Amino acid sequence: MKSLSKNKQEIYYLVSALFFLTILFFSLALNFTKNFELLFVLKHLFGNICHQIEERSFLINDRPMFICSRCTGIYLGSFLIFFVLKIYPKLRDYFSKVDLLLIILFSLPLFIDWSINFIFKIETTNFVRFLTGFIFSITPVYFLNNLLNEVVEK
Amino acid sequence: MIRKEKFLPALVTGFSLAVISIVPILQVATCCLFAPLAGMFGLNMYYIQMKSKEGFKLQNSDGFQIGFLIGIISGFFESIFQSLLILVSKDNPVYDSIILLQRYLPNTPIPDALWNISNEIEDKRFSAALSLMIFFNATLINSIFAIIGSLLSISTIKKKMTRDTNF
Repeated sequence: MKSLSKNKQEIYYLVSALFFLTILFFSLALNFTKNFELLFVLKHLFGNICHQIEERSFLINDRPMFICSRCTGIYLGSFLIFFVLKIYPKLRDYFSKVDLLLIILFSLPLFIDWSINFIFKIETTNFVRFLTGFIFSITPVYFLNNLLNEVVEK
Repeated sequence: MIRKEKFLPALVTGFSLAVISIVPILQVATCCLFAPLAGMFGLNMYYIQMKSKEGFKLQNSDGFQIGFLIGIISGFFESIFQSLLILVSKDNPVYDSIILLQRYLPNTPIPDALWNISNEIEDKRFSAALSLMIFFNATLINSIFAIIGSLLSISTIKKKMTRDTNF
């Protein structure tokens, strides 16, 4: 019974990593497909998860991604952390025992950067947005990791 | 089997989520902040009305069902609100998208289907195809995030229950 839920948990970790990788892959759609209908649908789909401001998105081959640099950081960070957690299962327990305050601290750079951009109207670079998003990705993965860990504990 | 007690919390939170999704500024955080919050609130509302009932046990499937219901309901209302916004405004989001995509793929011919939707919006200020697409997109995204929110809520409630029993 235990091994069954262990297998289930492994699948959940794999699916989570693939989920974030899929988002990153399809956000590059302008670079690998010329199917206009598909591009239109994907652009609107990604419009639900990101503001898609072109100036704030990375350009790959002079074509913007469908998600902004901050979201790119969040999804890339989430994918990498889940990938590491999938490969090294021992890290999952350590990660879930990290103090919540420390985790909240990781989201501070993003909120400071966002406030500087939005409230004070001072433009930071796309790299800074990416970096703060990347650091922030620890927060959602922390909560998701705790959730997935419970599958085995049950 | 979806219990009827799940519909009211899902309706309240799903409708609120759809309203937020059309408010400027707030709409940016609809998926990643408000959808999980809707899932949490929905699950908590369901738990509060059910906890006094004998034999009730909160399960992960409840979280999945409430999250999915919130996704469908918010998607339904969001498509109505977005269609109403198109109806009363002069915007044509399909035309804007075509122009933007054409800028990056100048040599690619634009399919007639997209032009038809764009022309339909220009003439009647309504397109069933666009409304349907908004419904499916919003349902998909909101369901995923609302399910995560409600599962997190279940985890918190269960931890609290275990703590209370230990005391």
